[in-house]
Amino acid sequence: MPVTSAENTFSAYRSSRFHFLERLKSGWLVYRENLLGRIGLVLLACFACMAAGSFIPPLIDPIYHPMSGVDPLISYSTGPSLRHWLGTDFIGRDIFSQLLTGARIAFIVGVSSAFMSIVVGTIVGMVAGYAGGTTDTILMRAADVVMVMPTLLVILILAALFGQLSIWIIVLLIALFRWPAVARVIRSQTLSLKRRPFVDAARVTGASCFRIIFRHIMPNVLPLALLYMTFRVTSAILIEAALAFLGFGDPGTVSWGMMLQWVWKTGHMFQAPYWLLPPGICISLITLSFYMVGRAMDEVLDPRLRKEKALE
Amino acid sequence: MNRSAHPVVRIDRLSKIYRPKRTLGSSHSSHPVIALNQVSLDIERGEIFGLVGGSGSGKTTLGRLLVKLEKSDGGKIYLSENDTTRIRGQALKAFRAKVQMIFQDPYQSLNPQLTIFDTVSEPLIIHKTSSRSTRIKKVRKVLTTVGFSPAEDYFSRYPHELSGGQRQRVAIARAIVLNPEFIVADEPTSMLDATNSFQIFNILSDLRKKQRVTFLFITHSLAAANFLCDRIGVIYHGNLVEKGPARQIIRHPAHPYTKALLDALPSYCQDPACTFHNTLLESPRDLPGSSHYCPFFTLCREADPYQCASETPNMIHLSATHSAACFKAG
Amino acid sequence: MTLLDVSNLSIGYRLRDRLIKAVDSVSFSLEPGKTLGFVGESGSGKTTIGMSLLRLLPENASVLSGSIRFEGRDVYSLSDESLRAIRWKKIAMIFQAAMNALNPVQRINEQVAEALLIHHPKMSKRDALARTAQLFESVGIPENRHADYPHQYSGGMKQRAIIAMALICQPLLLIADEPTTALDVIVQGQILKVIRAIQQEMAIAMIFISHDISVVADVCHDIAVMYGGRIIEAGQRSEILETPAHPYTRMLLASNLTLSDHSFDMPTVHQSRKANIRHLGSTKENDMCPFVCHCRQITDHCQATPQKWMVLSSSHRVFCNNIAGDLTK
Ligand SMILES: Nc1ncnc2c1ncn2[C@@H]1O[C@H](COP(=O)(O)OP(=O)(O)OP(=O)(O)O)[C@@H](O)[C@H]1O
Ligand SMILES: Nc1ncnc2c1ncn2[C@@H]1O[C@H](COP(=O)(O)OP(=O)(O)OP(=O)(O)O)[C@@H](O)[C@H]1O
Ligand SMILES: [Mg+2]
Ligand SMILES: [Mg+2]
Repeated sequence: MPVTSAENTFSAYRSSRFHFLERLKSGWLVYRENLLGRIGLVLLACFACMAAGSFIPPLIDPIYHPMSGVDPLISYSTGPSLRHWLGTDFIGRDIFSQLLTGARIAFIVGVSSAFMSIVVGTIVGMVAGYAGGTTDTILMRAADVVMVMPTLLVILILAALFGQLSIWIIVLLIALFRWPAVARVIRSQTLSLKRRPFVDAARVTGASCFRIIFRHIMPNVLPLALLYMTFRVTSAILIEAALAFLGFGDPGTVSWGMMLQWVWKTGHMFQAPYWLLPPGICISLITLSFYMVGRAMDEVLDPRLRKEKALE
Repeated sequence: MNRSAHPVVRIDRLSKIYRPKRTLGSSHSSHPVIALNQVSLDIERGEIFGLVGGSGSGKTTLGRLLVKLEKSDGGKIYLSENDTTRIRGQALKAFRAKVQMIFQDPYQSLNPQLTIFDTVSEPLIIHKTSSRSTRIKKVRKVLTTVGFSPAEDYFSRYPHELSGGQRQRVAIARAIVLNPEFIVADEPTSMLDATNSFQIFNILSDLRKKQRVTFLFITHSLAAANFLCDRIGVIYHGNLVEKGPARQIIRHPAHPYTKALLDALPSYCQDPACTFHNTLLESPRDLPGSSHYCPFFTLCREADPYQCASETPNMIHLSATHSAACFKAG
Repeated sequence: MTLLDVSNLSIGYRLRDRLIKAVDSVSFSLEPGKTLGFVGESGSGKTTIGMSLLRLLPENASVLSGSIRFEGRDVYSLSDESLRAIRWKKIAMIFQAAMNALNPVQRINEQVAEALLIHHPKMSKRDALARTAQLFESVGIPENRHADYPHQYSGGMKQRAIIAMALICQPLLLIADEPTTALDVIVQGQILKVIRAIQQEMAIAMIFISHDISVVADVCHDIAVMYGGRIIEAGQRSEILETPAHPYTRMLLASNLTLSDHSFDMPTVHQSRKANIRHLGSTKENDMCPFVCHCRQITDHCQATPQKWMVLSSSHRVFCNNIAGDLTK
């Protein structure tokens, strides 16, 4: 049985039992050539190390606990020293260990709310796109309504009404407000997939709508959903930081936004750069690196963005 | 064969009209397309019925109506004498197990994310026919039937690792795994080269012989239909213009459009015993003013300027099995 | 004098992780006014050859060896200047699926006239349109349709316009890449008629590429059969059609369906697939038979030794050393 002959003859044809790994590998080969993607990945790795390392300082000495660990010798903000690498905050807590914990919180907030909004967005998008008609109209109008609501403002109002929100409520709220954009993209992708003959073929074999959506369409939109997840992470982190900075964060967690708010509220904004700058820089860098990773993944997923290298 | 005693499929005056959706900024003011106009057909058990026609003549539309991918705008379809026009729910699912379709484009009709095994075993899962071990056995059997040996080698491959011909054979395997009664094959070889399509034809004809599967074989080439089919129907702009036994249609075509289709084949495909009919006008003539006319009037060299321009021809029986919709036939 | 002489041409495509040799040691030549047809399955390198003649290969392709001589001059050592003088004026091409590439917002005759004006800047627009009208007449586009937009044309009429566009500068050589593949039988018949008529009338040389041997047989004097990037058999039309020598050519001809009664013994094509897998890797070496994996009359000798061209007549040659026995049949 002929394989396209040039391939056949020149051994391009490999029967691979590890299709997924194979694709991952070739995707990685493309990704690797993207400078931005590499930088983003290195940065993310650093932040991941920070998040993982955030458990260590409190184990060394309880005074390094980011929330409750107050240095008995210090009761005001001090600059960097050997004992406190980045100094202490206004009641003598270690800024470095707060920074590490902030990384963990950023990951938790970013990834979990992005994950939730992706799940909701993907399901809504697939159902709307595949079902069409009234279902489509209703779901998309709902998405429009949510989309035009200013996330930050609504959460602020909710926080003002119900008092302090816990970090998980915030995560949930962010997720609830950020799915419509995902749903739109997934819907349009589904609309074009729906016309592909393989979906017709599945219908002819008697597959139910449920099966078509989850077995046939989902695997094909999943890469796109993952791509969107990296962008969602960015926006979730930013929203949480803004909330915390404005004083509506969860007072029981140490996030970077929270640290900024403490700097601001205690009037150290211009006196303590050692306290202000690290969380500020971290927020910018982590959002930037997620964005860069997203861009590079974009190129992996969309071959039209690629440049094949010319033969010399 | 006892004619029309028990046709597997009976199509009774089936019509389909595509009404354009009004969209902003669509350039040509579009009017409804009559894709099928009152088509009636019987397909006997165990035969391969060839549906032949040019591009846009409504062949795919008929196929999609038959497998209920599309709703008809009038007319009825009977499967083993049961009206299938309005079935839904469990009845539709049972129908799906009996009627299958092979699509035109093997590069598009397989889900790129599913392995060959997953693709072929899916109908079995949907129709809950068997346990996993019998599924494996069945999949192995159908893959062998369509010429994959050893079948296990292909279980975990993905479509992109197969050639066009192999993919089309996987699509056939998926269609026959439930032992359907009736399969619509929509130009199953139009994307394949001659050697590949020849294999596909052999597989279809084997299936007919060994498992008595009935086929509607859609093609635009009378040469392919001649090779594979028992009977042929010729369709032009949604109208069935001629039907009859394959040999009869090739040797003694009655409708000028059928003759034009025969003429159009490259000379290397022609049968030296056949004559050149020359029924096609070089440039189309204007539509007649009346609302009834022969659909082929504009391109027919033999058209009568009065009768053909003022009446729509009905099917005329030329023999017990052969009929054509042309005033000049017979 | 030969118009076009291609010798030992090999072309490769560089992919991310490997090199595909799409055309391998291809040689042929073409006399003025003759038509040469290339047949072969999808992916056998036909389009690649056509593109290389005009030096229009994509960026990731490169000519690995060999030469292309047009009117005695090596196309690949021409300056950009002299290349421009040849492209379209002397060698024109009908691209695969070109009819979908017409500009939707420009009138067809203007598009065709523009092709002429680009190459003859001194010509007036009126002359160009007049010349276009003349050509449209000979490819069979009725006068009242000349100034339509592409969406008003049917597939067949678009393809006629594309043919006219290729002929507008009166080239010496026309390369037609699958000009009828997307069309239905009747339209295909009409287009082939136009191509035949024009080829005879204007006496241009033509390279006609198709995967359908019956189409090629309809328009060409000579036929070259390709498989796996190689020409495996070449000869005059009658030689290829009546006394095919290579197993692949025979298979191709046997599986071409005709209107005659198919009572004769049809080849069952899928056999001996075991041979496939065993030898996939080894065919990389030079001059091994590209068809070895699918050949039905394969011998150990075929797999072990490089093939040589067998000359069967002054025009007929075949790249298979295993045929001497059955030639008498
Ligand atoms: N979804 C659709 N919406 C509107 N018009 C359609 C649709 N599908 C088909 N048509 C029109 O119906 C007519 C018949 O189309 P159909 O696809 O059945 O032709 P066909 O005989 O299969 O042609 P081909 O040989 O090109 O596949 C054509 O004029 C086509 O433009
Ligand atoms: N731009 C490209 N980059 C990489 N590989 C290519 C490129 N173009 C073609 N190829 C490969 O080169 C081989 C020959 O391709 P080519 O287009 O010449 O085939 P063909 O004979 O014209 O086929 P078809 O009948 O499908 O048009 C194929 O294996 C194809 O995959
Ligand atoms: Mg069709
Ligand atoms: Mg090509």
